[in-house]
Amino acid sequence: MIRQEWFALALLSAICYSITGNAIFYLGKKAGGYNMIALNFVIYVIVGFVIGPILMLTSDSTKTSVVGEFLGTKNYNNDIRRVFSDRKLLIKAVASSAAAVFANICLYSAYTSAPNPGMCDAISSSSAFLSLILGSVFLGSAIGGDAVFGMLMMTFGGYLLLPVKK
Amino acid sequence: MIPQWVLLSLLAAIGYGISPVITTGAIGEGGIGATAWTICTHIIGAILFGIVLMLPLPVGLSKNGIRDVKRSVNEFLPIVVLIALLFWIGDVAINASYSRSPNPGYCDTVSDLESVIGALFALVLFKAPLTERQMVGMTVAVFSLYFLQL
Repeated sequence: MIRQEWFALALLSAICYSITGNAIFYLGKKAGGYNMIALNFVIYVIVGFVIGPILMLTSDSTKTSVVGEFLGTKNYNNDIRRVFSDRKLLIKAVASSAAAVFANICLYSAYTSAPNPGMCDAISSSSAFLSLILGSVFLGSAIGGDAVFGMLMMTFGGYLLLPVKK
Repeated sequence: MIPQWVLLSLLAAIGYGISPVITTGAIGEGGIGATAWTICTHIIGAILFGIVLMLPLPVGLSKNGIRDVKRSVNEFLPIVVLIALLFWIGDVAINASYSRSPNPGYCDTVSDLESVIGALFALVLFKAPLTERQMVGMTVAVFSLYFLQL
């Protein structure tokens, strides 16, 4: 069924995100409400300042592994150094982070006034179409008719998944 | 007049739409590994979220911010660490996917399948019922994967 590497990776991310979605839902219920910016801050700190240094101490650029090749951990320490020393890459990293942080804050703000948070997710999912266009314009990425049809189907499926108020 | 929540959701879509394209450029053309890129963006993201946490934000977003940071560490650390680990794996996987796919937009669409998987998890874990409409939605979403892989 899975014919392409990128597809398997994207599917893995979907599985991880769906589990985190349920875990956050459980956390919110148990805690009786939660400030999502605070939670995001703690998550980013754990990933950036705990997992990051652990990887730095344990990664060995002389050894190669299948997982390392797959996820790009081979030159981990060197790559981290490159991002923070190369001005162009650093600007890209800051821009990418700022866009993601901005998007998260907008989405959580939308949740507070929307009739249903799922509606906000459905609208923000249209980001895939923006990525599609921007990728094509700035990176010269291909756009296939079949894939765009699949994207539209996924959007429609996501819309049908929203709970309907009676 | 567009409702405020629609406008904010659209702004979120813009942010989520821009980030993958920058990532694809850095990983694909810059030759940076997906794991290193994920860690770098999380370090910068943590600083940005820290700054935002201190700002007076509208619609109650600043409410209980510092208190909930403390609660995350003191009361809910195991589950917060689990969420962070899964987010990290998910982010590394999607970042690695961007540079291998024909277009980053395709990866985001496959990643949107999280709502389908999430609904299934909710059904199993929380006994959240599914309506017929939602079952049709799931079927349509799963079937769409066929076209994305062509």
